[in-house]
Amino acid sequence: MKLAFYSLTSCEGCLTTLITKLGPDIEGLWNNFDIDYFKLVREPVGGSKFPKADIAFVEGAVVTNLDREHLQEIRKNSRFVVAIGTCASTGNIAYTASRNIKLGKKALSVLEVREAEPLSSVIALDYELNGCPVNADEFVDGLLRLVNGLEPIQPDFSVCYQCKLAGNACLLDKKQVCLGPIAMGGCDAACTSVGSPCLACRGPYIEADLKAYFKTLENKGLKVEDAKPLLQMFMGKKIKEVLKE
Amino acid sequence: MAKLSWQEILGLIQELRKRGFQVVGPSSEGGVVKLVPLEDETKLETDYVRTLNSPKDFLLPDKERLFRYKSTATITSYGLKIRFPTVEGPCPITIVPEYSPPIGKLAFFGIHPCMANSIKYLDKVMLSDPADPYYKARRDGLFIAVLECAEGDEYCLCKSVGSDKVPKGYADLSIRKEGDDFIVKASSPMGSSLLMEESVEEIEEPSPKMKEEYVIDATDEKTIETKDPTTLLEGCTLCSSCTVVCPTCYCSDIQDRFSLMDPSNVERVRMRMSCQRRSYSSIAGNVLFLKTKNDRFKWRMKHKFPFSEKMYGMSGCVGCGNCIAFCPSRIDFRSFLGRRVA
Repeated sequence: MKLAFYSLTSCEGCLTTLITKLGPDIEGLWNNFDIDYFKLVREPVGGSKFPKADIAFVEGAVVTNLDREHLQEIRKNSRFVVAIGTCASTGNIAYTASRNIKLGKKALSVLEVREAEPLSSVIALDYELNGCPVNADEFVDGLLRLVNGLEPIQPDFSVCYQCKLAGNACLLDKKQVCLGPIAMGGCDAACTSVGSPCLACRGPYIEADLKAYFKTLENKGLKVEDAKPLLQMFMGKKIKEVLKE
Repeated sequence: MAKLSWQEILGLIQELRKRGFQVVGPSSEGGVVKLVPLEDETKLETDYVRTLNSPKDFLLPDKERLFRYKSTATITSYGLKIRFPTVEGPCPITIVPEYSPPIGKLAFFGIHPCMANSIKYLDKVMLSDPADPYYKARRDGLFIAVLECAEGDEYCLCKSVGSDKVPKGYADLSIRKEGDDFIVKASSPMGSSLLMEESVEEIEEPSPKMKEEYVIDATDEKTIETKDPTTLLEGCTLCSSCTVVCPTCYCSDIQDRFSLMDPSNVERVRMRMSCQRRSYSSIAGNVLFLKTKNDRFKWRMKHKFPFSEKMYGMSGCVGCGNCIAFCPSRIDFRSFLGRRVA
């Protein structure tokens, strides 16, 4: 089975995480699959910049025109396209930042920079793996499920769920704005366990209810206005969709 | 009956440890009181109302390996091929059950009567025929020292659900705080041997004082079904905290875990599940039985009250109030199911 790992506009943190965090599994990945391209590790095999692959993993947001062209080529040459990381699934920080930037239209066209978009606004995506950076265990799980012809499962629980399992005191009770109740879990409540509020770096979870979350904030005596900038930080396009509802 | 000082209470914990128990007790950590393995017994907290976690977390952990098996996974040029057992032909896998090793005996020191009731409920569920071997391995030889609860907080409701007293056989020691001293009674042979007393005493404990009292009427499924919780659940984000902190929520999910390293080695894992989660009620074809938060809330209430009453003859709610106190929105089911009387 052929795999390819691409990188669009990003910090390349997701691919780096896969290299460093897969542990002994990286050997399994290399032995069991043909990896025809892995940015930072292996040049494209066979001359083409976009080798034909069974599964293409793409990190990063679509920011430049070149990104857009590359992504369309990747889609043409791959059976499955999987977005890895929050940049690829929501647009991440670049999504909101690029809409607030005060560059003249000319400068933007010279740079060929557009407003940042997640992969799903350019091509049809088969699956998304969230996380900033992506979680290596979830990657392995998703990969093995795809290989076995099963649809990968995204965490269907919030950060609160894992935060309570970890035995943490609620940060909302401490009058801190925490996005835990609507953020996608799967991170083992890494931030809240060390006392830092959740910023929803994995995007909203599948049943995120923003109205109820604002109600929760009101009940706690917190301001909804304080939460809004945090909501726009990582959740990019997804929060726009949730806000519309 | 014996009157013990703080130092002597700590001595009891040391003695338990000498006898091979892993002692778990309440301890204050990061602003909350929770049950933790007491490696340092001086961290024992005796002045508390509720704990964030419950004995459930030790008897039924969030993740546990049930067994491992060899699958006939083959690595081909097309990728991994893992064959699951089918009805045609012999089972292609050899199952080598690897039970989790016995972890030694557990002792809960200083839990409140509501938590002792929760252990009784879990016993009814997990030990009814056929008994769950993993639960049983942890449960066997369990030692329980109950600390009497003098007064609940505004979320407690043990009196309303009838779990304010320790059920028979669910306390080896019963401890009452009196000023700086502790009155300790042994109510089982194991307890009396620890206290070095010969007699076993009946526990006569006063009920904890309640800040608020409710009459809960939820023995009928239909009364729950006809009520409308929409306004109550306005702040519910379906975060599932209520089911995590509940001492009697035991639902679980079973998954097979593969590793990339050796795809033929498969691990079957049991993980905690929550009725508030989407995957709890979703089946093939993307069909969802419990669609809205109203459905899921009602389902939780039905399981706690009428279903448990019918199946196990006791309320599935032990009145600890954790689901209210640790809910980010403080959603209070008491006024939904009953009415306040005091």
